[in-house]
Amino acid sequence: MSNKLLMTRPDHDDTTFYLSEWAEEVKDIAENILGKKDVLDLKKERVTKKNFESMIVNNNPTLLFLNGHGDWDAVGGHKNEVILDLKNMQLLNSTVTYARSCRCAKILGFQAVKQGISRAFIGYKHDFIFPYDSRRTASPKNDTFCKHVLTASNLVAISLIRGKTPKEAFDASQQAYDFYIKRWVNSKEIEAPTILKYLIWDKANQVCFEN
Amino acid sequence: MEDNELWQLVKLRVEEMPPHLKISIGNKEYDKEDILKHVEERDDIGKLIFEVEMTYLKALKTL
Repeated sequence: MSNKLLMTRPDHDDTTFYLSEWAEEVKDIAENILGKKDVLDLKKERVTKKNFESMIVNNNPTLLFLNGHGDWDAVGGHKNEVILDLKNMQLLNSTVTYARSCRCAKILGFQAVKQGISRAFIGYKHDFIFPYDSRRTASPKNDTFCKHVLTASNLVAISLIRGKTPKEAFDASQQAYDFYIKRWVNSKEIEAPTILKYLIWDKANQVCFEN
Repeated sequence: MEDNELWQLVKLRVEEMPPHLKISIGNKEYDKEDILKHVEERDDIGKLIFEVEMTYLKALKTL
């Protein structure tokens, strides 16, 4: 198998736009470490099931970083077209996948690993939730209210790209959540309780399944 | 604490949310007023917010 990373970055609404913008950091790091030709960045309206399947079949990436809406057994792409579910999860054969999508670790991720298809699946077993500043939606990277939730979650992908094992990547992200929780728990800013509760929620629902 | 009291607590805590914050849940985004409506109705989103608040309150004990 290659040492390639496939990322999906739809951006058809506020949520996916935020995820896509914040995933840019991961893309930059990946291109530095793996080389540009080994980073496959499927974004915007190109995040379709057909393109996703084709990218995997033609390139054999070992690492997947999926952004988008999700459900217990599926991950979505552009305009929420399902790009990955139980029917095509064979595509995850021998890969390590990090899905920054609601819920999909609970059934899809669990089954992909349990059935010996994926090497590992890191994701969220419930809704992945983040707060953001409604005054900053044109420039998500400048939004300090989502920053720590999305930075902690980015760390899974960054750690995997840097050669960490899935468990190490998961632990690194969990530690980042802890670090930011401590930062906000003592804050008097009016946004602090809201940011804190979603740091705690996402940390509690992040899981790593591994073969 | 009674169930109704817990829901009232959740509502009070959501009321503290600043108006410029939105929350991304699933494939929708919610401001404070949206969340308060769902908490009032105790629908799926309301129940999710309830669960988030309970998780938060439990975690605070150990922080």
